[in-house]
Amino acid sequence: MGMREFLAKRILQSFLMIFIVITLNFYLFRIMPGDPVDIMFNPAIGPEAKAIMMREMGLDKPISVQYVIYLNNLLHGKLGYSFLEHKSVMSAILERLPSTILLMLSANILAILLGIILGVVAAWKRGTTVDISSIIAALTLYSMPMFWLGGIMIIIFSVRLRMFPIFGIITPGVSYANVWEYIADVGRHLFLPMMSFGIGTFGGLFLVMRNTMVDAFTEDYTLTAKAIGLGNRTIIFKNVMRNAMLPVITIVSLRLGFMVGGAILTETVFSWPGVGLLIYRAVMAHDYQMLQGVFLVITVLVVLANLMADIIYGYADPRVRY
Amino acid sequence: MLKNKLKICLLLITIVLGVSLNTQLCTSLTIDELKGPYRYGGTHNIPIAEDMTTLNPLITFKGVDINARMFMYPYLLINDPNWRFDAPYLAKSFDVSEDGKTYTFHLYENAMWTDGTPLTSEDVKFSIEYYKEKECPVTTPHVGNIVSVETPDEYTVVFQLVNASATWVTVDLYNLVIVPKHIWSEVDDPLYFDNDDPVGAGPYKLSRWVKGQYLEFVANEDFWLGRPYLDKVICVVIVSRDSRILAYKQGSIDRVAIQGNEVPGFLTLANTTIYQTTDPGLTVLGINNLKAPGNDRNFRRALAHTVDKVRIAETIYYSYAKPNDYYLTSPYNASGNWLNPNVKKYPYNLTLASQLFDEAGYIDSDGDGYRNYPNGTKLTLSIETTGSIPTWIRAAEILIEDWKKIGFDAEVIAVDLGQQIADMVTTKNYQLTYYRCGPASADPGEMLGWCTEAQSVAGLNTAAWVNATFEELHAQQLLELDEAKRRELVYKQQEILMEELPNIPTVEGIGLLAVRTEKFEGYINALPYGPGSNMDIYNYLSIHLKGPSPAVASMLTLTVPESLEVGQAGVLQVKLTDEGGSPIEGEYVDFYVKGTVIGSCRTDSSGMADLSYTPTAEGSYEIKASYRGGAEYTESSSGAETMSAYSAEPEPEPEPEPEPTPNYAPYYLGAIVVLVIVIVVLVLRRKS
Repeated sequence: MGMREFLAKRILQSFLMIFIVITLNFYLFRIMPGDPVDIMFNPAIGPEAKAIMMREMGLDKPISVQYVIYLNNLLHGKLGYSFLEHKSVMSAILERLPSTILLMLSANILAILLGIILGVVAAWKRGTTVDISSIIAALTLYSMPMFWLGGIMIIIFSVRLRMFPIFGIITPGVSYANVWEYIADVGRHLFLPMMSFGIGTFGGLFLVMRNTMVDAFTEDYTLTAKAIGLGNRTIIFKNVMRNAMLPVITIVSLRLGFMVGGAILTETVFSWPGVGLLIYRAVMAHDYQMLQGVFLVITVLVVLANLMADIIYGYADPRVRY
Repeated sequence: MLKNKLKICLLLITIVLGVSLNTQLCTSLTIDELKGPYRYGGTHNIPIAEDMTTLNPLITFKGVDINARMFMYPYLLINDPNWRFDAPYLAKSFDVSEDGKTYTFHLYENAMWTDGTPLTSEDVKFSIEYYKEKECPVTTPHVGNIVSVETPDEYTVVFQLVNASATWVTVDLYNLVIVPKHIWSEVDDPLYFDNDDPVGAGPYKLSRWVKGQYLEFVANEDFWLGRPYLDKVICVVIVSRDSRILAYKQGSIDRVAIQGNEVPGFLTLANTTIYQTTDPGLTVLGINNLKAPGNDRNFRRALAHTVDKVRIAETIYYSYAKPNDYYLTSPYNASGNWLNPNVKKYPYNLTLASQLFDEAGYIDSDGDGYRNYPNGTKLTLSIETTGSIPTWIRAAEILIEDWKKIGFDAEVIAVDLGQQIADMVTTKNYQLTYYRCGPASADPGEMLGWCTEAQSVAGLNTAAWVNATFEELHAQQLLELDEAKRRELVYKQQEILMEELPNIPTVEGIGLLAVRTEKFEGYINALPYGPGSNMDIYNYLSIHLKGPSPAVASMLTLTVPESLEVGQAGVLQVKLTDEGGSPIEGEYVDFYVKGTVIGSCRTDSSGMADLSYTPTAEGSYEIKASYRGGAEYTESSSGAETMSAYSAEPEPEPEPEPEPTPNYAPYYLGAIVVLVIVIVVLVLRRKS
């Protein structure tokens, strides 16, 4: 199978996957018990107001009709209108996407760098104190609940030391003299959520990196490389790391795919107005339109990220094409 | 560490239980009286748990949106701090015709929209007609009773109603926000109108909305009652409750809602006052009246004696809740004395409950150790409630613990909130349930309406209980314009409810709001949700920067009853005088019990103010009063007085027979012997 056939097959699979997810998304949320109008608003709003809301949200129609309308809207590029947020789903997502990407990209880069660097170092020094202590540190941080880690960081850095703010992206009510002040303010707000997400999640990547590196170190080609007298740096970067990177590519690309979903817990603790909070609110209030929309966007991006990982794999490791 | 914990436990144990608020004794406060020679300026920061969703005031029911609506838009009347919805606002006064069908409102003549257009009767007329013509979820349901709106002149509006109604003002007018004609006449579909550049007329204008982050409101210089004292109010989005508490302690916000277990910690903070207000919502043990055993009145009455409301209030709400026996809650007493004190009560008494269950035939007829239905079939008491709401789940656990004690097989079923609402409201597929429901208005008709037939299908009559006399009384009271006569009807309705017990009222919560006082003063303990909550505009016209002390010193003396019986009301009395002993009239005095404010009252011409107060637990109560100072007088506090509360000879509960501790020794011995034998066999086999 050539690269072209391989690609065609993967793209077709991706489309099928997206369609299945659209259908599942639609029905899954409607299986949840309860009436969205009652949950979204208040059972005490009265039957008249409720009827108006049901009609406007299209919930008075049979589910099959709702499904057809939904598919038709999707084909026209419309993700729906959220009556909870009082805006179109697309604009709600777009409104929150920049802050999510800012947080998730910086935190993920931090996690990836920490994971890879510490992984390589631990593998190289396997069995030593450095290796064991970094495994313990990574596992401890990885297993800490995110809200707890975030809360502790707030207590130490915000309440006690007063170094960083507790909530939001910018200081309320402040007008900035220039763009640098603005960037500095955002940076101060970004630091704690980025650190808590970054150091709380690098552990998984670290363990994979370390273990595949350790495996690669024991391979024959490493021995050969050593035998022909290559330097340590060449062995690590040219021989071992290139081979060990394969599973890491999958993990990193999936992480990037899930990035738009935000980090619900981190966003909640630090009141970071990202997509994660949007999802949380939508789930709590049974906001079908919003949930369908957000999950569809996430699905498409994860599937795309997966596809991309496959393509990179195809180049990095020709075996997978066959 | 342990010492601290012990201290907190002790504090919690001694902290005051539910407090009965009866501001009825106080004269109500008008907006004009909030004025004084105070300092202007300052930014007040308040937390909101989620961002505003829309600037369109006609389509949203969410708390934060309502807050913004109140800041920016005019209403004819508003809630006063006693939760009475008839305080003048845009209308400086109003008259009602004798037949109750014609309401004439006289508007302030200096009101103006924020774009400079005068606000006149035309805007009021337009708004109502707009709501009749278009579908606006917030307002359209409330214009059905209006035949016409006439505008005899620019500042007079006459509403002609189809039927006279006691609830038209409190339920319907309450929701009718006024919008500017010159903006909204251009809006064809209000449901999809973003209103990005809102033109309002209220005390504050929106100056900035950083989505997902904060809302900044600035004082409206042209507000018809004069600009508010504060320069700015900033509502900052802080999603997590823990983060809100930390932000308050760090000083970035000026108020925060707290829970009972946090009171001791907050009492130690400098410059913090904690305000208590009773939740108008009621928590009930819901009973499905359509199915056995809930359809048997004797069962429901016996069950009522098993509900230990005091224990629920003490252990789950850390004593910041109080038992309720009325189907209405104490804020309704403040707004109009609507609670009938003489309804039948069902004190917690398991012996009596057990006896009543026996008499009703719920006995263990098959000898399996559990009570059965009177016809002998197996009975399990199943109480369904939402798993993610800790107070409900814990209350349900307390209930089944008691049911098991008197021989019932009982279980708690934890479900999702959506499932619980569906089961209670739509399908009636439950036996017992536990939930809280809060009213949307201050009218007693709304909460009592939850027990009518109209609400039994897909409505809030979760019990699906129907009673012809009750229906008749309800219809009558909704039409009765004379408040005293209406009160009699409402009292009768409560009597029927407590006789029939479709559901069992359990507790009403007490909301706790901590506010920072180093910069601002002028907080009013407004019902129903405390200073500056939704729909409370009084505080935002009253809160101001602390100013230089006025010249004349004031003195406050407090008199409290030496002792009171638990559950019995007593009167706390203060006298406010100047340094020469002359009474000071018309000033507000805050009453504190154990450090938190339980109510505020205004002094009369002799400088006296009274607050009725009911202790709900035994123990010693430390009571204080404080006067916050005014334009002419300095602030002053009374000394702390102590009052003790005693129980009225409680019926001695028979001590339950201590269950004999099972003797496990033979089992342990047996297990050891078996183990030894196994080891010996293994060792021998290996050797051989």
